[in-house]
Amino acid sequence: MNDDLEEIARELAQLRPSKPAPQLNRRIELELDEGDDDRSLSTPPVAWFRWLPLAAAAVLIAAVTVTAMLGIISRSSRDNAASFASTAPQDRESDSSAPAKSGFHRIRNANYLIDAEDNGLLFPSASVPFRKVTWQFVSASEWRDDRDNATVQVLIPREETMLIPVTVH
Amino acid sequence: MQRQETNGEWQGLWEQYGPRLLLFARQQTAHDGDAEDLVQEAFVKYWRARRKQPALPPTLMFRMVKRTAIDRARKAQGREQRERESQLLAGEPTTWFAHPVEDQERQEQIDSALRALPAHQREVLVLKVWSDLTFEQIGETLDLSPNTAASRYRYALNQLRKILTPAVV
Repeated sequence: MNDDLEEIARELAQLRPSKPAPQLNRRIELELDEGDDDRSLSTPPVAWFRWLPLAAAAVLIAAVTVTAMLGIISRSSRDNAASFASTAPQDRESDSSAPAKSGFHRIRNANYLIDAEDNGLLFPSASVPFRKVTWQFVSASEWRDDRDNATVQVLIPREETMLIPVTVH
Repeated sequence: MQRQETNGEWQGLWEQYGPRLLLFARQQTAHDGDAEDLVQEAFVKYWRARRKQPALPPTLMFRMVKRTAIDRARKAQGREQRERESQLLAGEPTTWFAHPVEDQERQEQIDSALRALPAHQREVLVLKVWSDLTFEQIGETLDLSPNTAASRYRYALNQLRKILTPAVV
């Protein structure tokens, strides 16, 4: 750094930051007098309600899916009654119990990371500091019926909050 | 008695870091009341954490001020606009430095030159000159590389030199 900059830096360093108002000192004293505060750890902010509309939509989709699949299974059972009659009893039982036997099979099962948020450090008085990190995912599952290429998707939003112990060096 | 002793301990730290923290917090928000809130929250959190973990460095308080400011800004969208408006209504800006009677004119020049700097340069300058942080510590506090912190520091000094040099000569 050249001399001019050093001279400016020296001149700046001679300035003294103004002191906080006595009221701020008093506020801190009062807050410290209130005792330990573990609220930051014991009652983490509940964010699940943000996902309520999406969760309701996902439940609705799932319900429609199950209803549709049951209808397909029922229709398939009626249409193929003659062929079922010729199969062994144990085969007939397994055919009517699983959606996969009706033609639907899972073609996708994935988790998508939508957002990751670093909520900063928490300082609970009873333990070491934590870094709070929140991830928001959507779990996506998809089934397809090979007989008519009908597909069903189920999307389930999910939020995970992790408290990671922090070691300060 | 125990509580009084504990309070006495924090007073020393407050005397040393209170003015620096407040100056740094004033770089994070335009409203002086909010800057005081940031300092109070960071200081109390740090003090409680340090009672459990005495090795926590005091420079961590600057990072806590920064993180708290970011969190609050996220939660209060549009706040900046309101702050600007309230600042306009408030009239004279808060004094950042203690002005002795002598050289008051020069210090006011420096004060206004500092306010003219871009915020990202000014916060680095404040941490370097008045908080005695190294570029590595500044990088950790502001989530920057040490090289970026050093670069912003030099830009800030250059900018100040351009503004203030005529008065020096």
